[in-house]
Amino acid sequence: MKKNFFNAVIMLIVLGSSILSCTKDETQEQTQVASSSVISLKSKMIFEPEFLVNKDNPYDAYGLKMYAFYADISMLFQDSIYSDYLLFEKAYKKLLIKHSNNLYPSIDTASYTKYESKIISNLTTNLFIKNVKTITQKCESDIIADRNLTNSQKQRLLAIVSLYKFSYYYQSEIMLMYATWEERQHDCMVRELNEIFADDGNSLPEIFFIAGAPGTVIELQLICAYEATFCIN
Amino acid sequence: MQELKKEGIIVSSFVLLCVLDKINVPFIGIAIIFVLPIVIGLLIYVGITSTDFKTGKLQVIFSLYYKMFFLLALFFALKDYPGKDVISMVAISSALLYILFIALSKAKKGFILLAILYINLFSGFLLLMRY
Repeated sequence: MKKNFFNAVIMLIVLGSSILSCTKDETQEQTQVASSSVISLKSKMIFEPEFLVNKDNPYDAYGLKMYAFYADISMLFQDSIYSDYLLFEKAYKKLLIKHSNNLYPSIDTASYTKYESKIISNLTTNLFIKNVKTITQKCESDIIADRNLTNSQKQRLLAIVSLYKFSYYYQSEIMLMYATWEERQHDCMVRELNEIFADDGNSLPEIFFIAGAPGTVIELQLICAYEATFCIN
Repeated sequence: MQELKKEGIIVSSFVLLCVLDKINVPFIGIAIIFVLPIVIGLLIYVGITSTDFKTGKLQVIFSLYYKMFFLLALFFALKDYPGKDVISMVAISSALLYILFIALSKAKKGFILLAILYINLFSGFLLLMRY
């Protein structure tokens, strides 16, 4: 009886420490916290946005430069500024000025045609951090090859796709850093279930999922619990 | 009757946890993730060890099927997962099919009452979870 209790305690400690280490590993480099009065941030964050670069999209160079901006933004989330809207806004504006050279040039979205809006809308549907590279690269290739678009339309579409994919990546990474175990698990479940129940005209995944329930649901929960515990993207 | 009491305790405990999670009681959200497989396991155990299982295996398995789907539908609605409507529809349809099956197979009519109770109770909670 005592041995069982002892084993249970050890298991709880191991599980607890692995969950804690998840968040610790990702935040240990962010020891320098910005104070509410001084915004002297050092970009110590490690993002790896290079995998998103498409050599056919010239605007991706801005996406890489945006690294420094988002590295500082991620620090603001950890600071006490974050809980005060006015202070956060002030700090955010300071960062915008500080990183004005690292941000994208202004893109005029007012003159977008319905066709262009549809392209952007199709891009944002079913986009997840897992498939961000494949979806955006396919979109970029389609834009370049599209004969219905003028050269200026292609340029502004490529700019907005590039801005969208890099912002999405940086923001997802930041959210993941500050997410709790439950949020990570929930995100994983939603992502996987979205793929299964996607409105893509193929109902086989839905049928297999329902036919295998509750085994499939429990299996998916375990996979997501594992992902959330060991911080796997 | 004893099995019915056990089933009632198991299912009502799960529903209670769902309600507590809905009103944002800390740690219940994580607990439910781990409790769901246990509740389903217990439900299967109670069904298999019941005296009805010896007399009518098919009706017990069928009843377990719709009960599990109601629990899953509640869980999906609570967590607002994609596919929650499909799971709810499957749960209600399988319960209705079960009622039809029992009515045709001339088994205990009490099972029909239980299935109607499940439909009413879970439909109510599924609606509550949406708001």
